[in-house]
Amino acid sequence: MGNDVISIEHASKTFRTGFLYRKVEAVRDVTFSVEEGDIFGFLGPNGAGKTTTIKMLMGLIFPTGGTLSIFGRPHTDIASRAALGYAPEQPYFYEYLTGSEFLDYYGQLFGVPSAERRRRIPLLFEMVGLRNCADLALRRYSKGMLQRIGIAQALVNDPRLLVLDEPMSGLDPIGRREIRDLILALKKRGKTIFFSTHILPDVEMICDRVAIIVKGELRRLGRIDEFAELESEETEVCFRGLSAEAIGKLSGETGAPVVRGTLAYFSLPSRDRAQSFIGEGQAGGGSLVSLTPRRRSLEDVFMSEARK
Amino acid sequence: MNMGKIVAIAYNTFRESIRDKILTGVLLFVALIIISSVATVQLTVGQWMRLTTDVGLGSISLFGVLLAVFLGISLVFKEIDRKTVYTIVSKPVRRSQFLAGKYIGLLLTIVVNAALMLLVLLATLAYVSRQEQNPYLGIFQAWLLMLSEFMLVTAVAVFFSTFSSPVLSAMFSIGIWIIGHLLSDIRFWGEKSMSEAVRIATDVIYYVMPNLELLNVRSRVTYHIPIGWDYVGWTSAYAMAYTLMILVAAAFIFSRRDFK
Ligand SMILES: Nc1ncnc2c1ncn2[C@@H]1O[C@H](COP(=O)(O)OP(=O)(O)O)[C@@H](O)[C@H]1O
Ligand SMILES: [Mg+2]
Repeated sequence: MGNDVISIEHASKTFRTGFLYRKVEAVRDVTFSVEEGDIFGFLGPNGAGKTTTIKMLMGLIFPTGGTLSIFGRPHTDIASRAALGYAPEQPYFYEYLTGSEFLDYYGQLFGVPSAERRRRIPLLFEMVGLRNCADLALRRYSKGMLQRIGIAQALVNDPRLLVLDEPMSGLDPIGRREIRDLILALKKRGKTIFFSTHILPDVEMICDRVAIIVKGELRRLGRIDEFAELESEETEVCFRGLSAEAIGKLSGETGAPVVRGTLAYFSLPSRDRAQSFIGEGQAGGGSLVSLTPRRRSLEDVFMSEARK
Repeated sequence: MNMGKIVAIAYNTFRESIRDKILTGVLLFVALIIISSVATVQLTVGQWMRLTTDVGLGSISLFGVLLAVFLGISLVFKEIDRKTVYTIVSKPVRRSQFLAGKYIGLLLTIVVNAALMLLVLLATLAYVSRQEQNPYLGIFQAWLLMLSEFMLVTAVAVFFSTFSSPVLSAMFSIGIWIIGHLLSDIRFWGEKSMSEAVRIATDVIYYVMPNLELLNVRSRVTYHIPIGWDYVGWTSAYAMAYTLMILVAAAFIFSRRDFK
């Protein structure tokens, strides 16, 4: 508990919207914590409640229930925000400022001394890949550049904890890769990173822990290697030249295969059955093309939670 | 309270407004009105002075109040609408500090604008005549009281904008501005009314609403009736106290609202 940088207990948020004050339960009884030094991925499809949770944590909206704390202090205590950097989902900034005026202003709000600001700001532009954009007005920045300066502003106080809401959205694959590398580099420097995303492939290899939220409820929580279904023994077997009759017979065990030309791909639920299954296929006139253990990805877990 | 953060926010607010071309437009427009009042008709020097003073003070007052209302209602709204408030409120900055900084920055903008308009007026008057009667002291006092009015009206606009839409805030603020200038009339009607309820209602309005007519000494200036510094002093103090009260209420509401 002592190392928990973020701790969220039974947080709920109900919005009242529209003319009839209809209730929208955006977040329901969410509990989890983030440990010092971790990269924590907060995953969920659009509308799951990620942004709402983050906004509660940042003190932008007030929870309907539950308690949230940062560095062991209540999240509404402004002292809890001194070592915190936050990049919101949609980066709209003061368009009449230049990039460096903007970072300088935010540095002042953290009380960073001016000599330190002058030293640090050029490094930040370098770090987020905006080398020659310091004197450009923010209204001339593209969406991707705004996303990057959004991360730069979150680093202006050299925070211990970084909270990023959808840092990869609005970026092309190269940009996403760069942000991922930046997150890893920041972790190496001892920072804790908590970020939300609905784009999964980028996430699996960098997160120490993840939480999956769907429809306002926390569905999964833990280290990725603890997710049992990721270790499934599903095995893919491919034959060439099976007769339709043989395919029909083999499907009894596995369900219909994916057929491409003369190739038929079966997926076996367990590796133990592979030996005899191959035998049956060969007996049916097929020749074995490949035998591939299929590791399920986090995306599969995510998809199955999202469908429930 | 950390003044450094408030100053940074105020400076940024001021910087935003001076980079906005609309303000320059307003300023040029008012300058044009004042200067053209000289060229209107053939008048004696005394009449010219009177007309220019009248038109000048009147337009500074009107455009100052318009700036106060329209910049005031969008002051907070724009930051919420563009979500810039997200990255500020999540920093070690109190919401009340943010509001104070924004307010001070806006007030500074309005004061600088009003000062430039005043300069145009004084320069115009100095050009028209080398006068026997010196109206400048009165004009300056009237201008100071206008600043008090701008300060108060800005606070009213900011107050409404902390919980309602810009359009509603503008309507409420302009409503209060109009009522604030008509308080003695309203009370007069109330006292003549037959209905007890109307009398009580007008009394309540009289005591609760800011009495903005106290801050209007323009006709006295036009007719060279001296204004004492003690009058300027206590009416400014009244406006300041009222402003402070409204701002505290605005900060109270602003600190409790969700940024959706
Ligand atoms: N201000 C609001 N008023 C009403 N409903 C909202 C508001 N903000 C979010 N919601 C609803 O709450 C749910 C979660 O939204 P959000 O937290 O933005 O999801 P995510 O960030 O995971 O995509 C959505 O159904 C959304 O429509
Ligand atoms: Mg979101």
